[in-house]
Amino acid sequence: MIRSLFQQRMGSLKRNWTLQFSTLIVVTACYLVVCGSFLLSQNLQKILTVWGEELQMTVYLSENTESSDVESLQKKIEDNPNVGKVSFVSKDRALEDFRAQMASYAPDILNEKELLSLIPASFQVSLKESLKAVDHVKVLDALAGNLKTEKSVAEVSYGQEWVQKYGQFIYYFEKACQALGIIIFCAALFVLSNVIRASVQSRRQEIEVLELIGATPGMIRRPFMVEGALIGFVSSMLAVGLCYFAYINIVAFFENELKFLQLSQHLHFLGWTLIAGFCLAGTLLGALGSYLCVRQINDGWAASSL
Amino acid sequence: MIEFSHVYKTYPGPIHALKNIDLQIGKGEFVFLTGPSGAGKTSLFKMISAFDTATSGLVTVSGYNISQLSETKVAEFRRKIGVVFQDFRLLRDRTIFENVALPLQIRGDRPAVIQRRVQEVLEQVGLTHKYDQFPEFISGGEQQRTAIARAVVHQPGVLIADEPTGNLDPQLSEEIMDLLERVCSQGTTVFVATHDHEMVKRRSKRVIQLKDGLIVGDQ
Repeated sequence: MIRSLFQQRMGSLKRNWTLQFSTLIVVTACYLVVCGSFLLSQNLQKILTVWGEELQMTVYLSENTESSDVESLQKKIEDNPNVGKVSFVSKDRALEDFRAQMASYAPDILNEKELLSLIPASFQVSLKESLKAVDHVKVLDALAGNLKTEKSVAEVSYGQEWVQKYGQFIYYFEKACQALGIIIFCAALFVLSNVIRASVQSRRQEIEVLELIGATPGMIRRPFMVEGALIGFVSSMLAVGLCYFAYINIVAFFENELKFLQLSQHLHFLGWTLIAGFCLAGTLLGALGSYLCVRQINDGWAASSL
Repeated sequence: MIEFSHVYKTYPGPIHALKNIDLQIGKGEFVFLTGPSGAGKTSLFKMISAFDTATSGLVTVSGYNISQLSETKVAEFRRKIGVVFQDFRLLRDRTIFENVALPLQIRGDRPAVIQRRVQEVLEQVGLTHKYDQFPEFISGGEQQRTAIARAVVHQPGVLIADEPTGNLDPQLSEEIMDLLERVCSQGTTVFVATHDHEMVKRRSKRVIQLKDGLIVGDQ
C-alpha cells in the first residue's frame, strides 16, 4: 500500500516535474532562510556567551583579615550555585603579579613602598559556563551585593559599567532574534502555503476528475499529502545542506582572514537532533500545507463547476 | 434505474431551476434530454451524478437516494455511474491508457485485470493504437471516445453524457452517438443531453424536453 502510494506519487512528480521543481525551489528557499537564521542566531549567541564567560569578579579583602575568615568567605562564594571557579590571590602573590606587570611599563612605581603596601589579597571569581549570557549581569549584581555586606570584604569589582552594557546588548539581541525568528517563520509559512496552494490549484481538474469517477476524499488527499511531505523533506534536506556549505565557508574565512578574532573555534553547525527536528518539521509542514489546500477543493462536491 | 419524484431545485435568487419533475428511466433505455440553454438540463444532470441535491422531492439512481448520500456513499455511488462531458475532462498529463484505467484503479482492481479490461474497452472505441498517447496529441473525436471509454470501463449501470458532441463536427458526432448506442445495447442506461435536434430526430429514441425547469414533452 505504502509502496504503491509512493510509486504513484513519484510518477506524479515525474509528470508534473516543472511545477514540482519550481515548488521545490521556492520551498527550499523558505526553509533555507529559516535554517540560516537559526544557525546565525545560535552562533551569535554562542559567541556572546563566550565573551560573557570572560567576565570575572574580583573580591578585595580587608587589611588584616584572619585566615579563618578567608576560608569561610571562600566557602561561602563557592557555595553559590552560579559560581564556577574561585581562586585566592594572597597579598604577596598580588604584589608579585603587580611587579611583573609594571616592571616594563612603569618601573618607578615599584619603589613606592607605601603604595605597594596598599595592594590587598583578593578572590578571583568566575561564573559557571552553563550560565546563560543574559543572566550574567543579574548573577554578578546579586553576588556583589551579597559579598559587600561581609566584614572581611573591602571592595567588589566586576567592571560594572561594561557588564551593564553587555547585559543590555544581550537582552536586546535575544529579543531581536526572537522577533526576527517569528517574522521569518511567518513569511516562510506564507510563501510556503501560497506556493503549495498554487501547485494544488493548478491540478484542480485532476481532483475534480478523481471525484467524478468515485475516489473518496481520503484517496484524493493522501497522495497530495505524500507529495507535499516528499517536497518538504527534500527541501529541508537541501536547505540544511546549503546551510552547511555556507557554514564551512564562513568558518574557513574566519580561520584564514580573521584569525586574530579567534572566533572559528566557537562556531558550531546545528546538532543532529536539531537537523532531524528541522527535517521532520519541514516534512510535516509540507504534508499539512498540501492537506489544507486539497481540502479546500475536495469538499465532496468539488466538480460543482460541471 | 433513474427516478425523479416531485423534484424541485431552487438556487439563491431565487432561481427555480427545476419545477415538479417526475421522471422514470428504465434499465437499458437510451434517452435524449433536450431544451434551450437555462432550461434546467445541467441541474438535472448534476443531481443524477450526485454533484447537487434537490431542494425538495426524491431522486433515485441505481437504487441510491441521492439526497441521503454520505461523503463515502457519494464516492461509492459514482463508481456505479459513468459521466461524459462536452469538454472531455481528460487528465492531460496521463496517457489514454492511464486515463481510461483511472476508475478501475480507484476501485482497487488488480493491475492484470486493469490491463485486460482497458485493452478491451479501447478496442471497442477503436483507440487501441493510441493507448500510449497523451490527450493533447489526439483529435477531439478521439478525446471524446477516450472519455466514453473511461466512463464505461467499470461497466456502470447508468451513463450520462452532457452535450457529448457539442465540440465535434457532424461526422464525429454520429460516430460518438453510434458508440453510445453500442454501450446502451450492452445493458447500460444512457441519458444524453443535447442541442442537436436533427440528430435526435434521426435516432428515433425517447426524448424528454425541458423548458423553464418543467418537462414539456416526453415521447
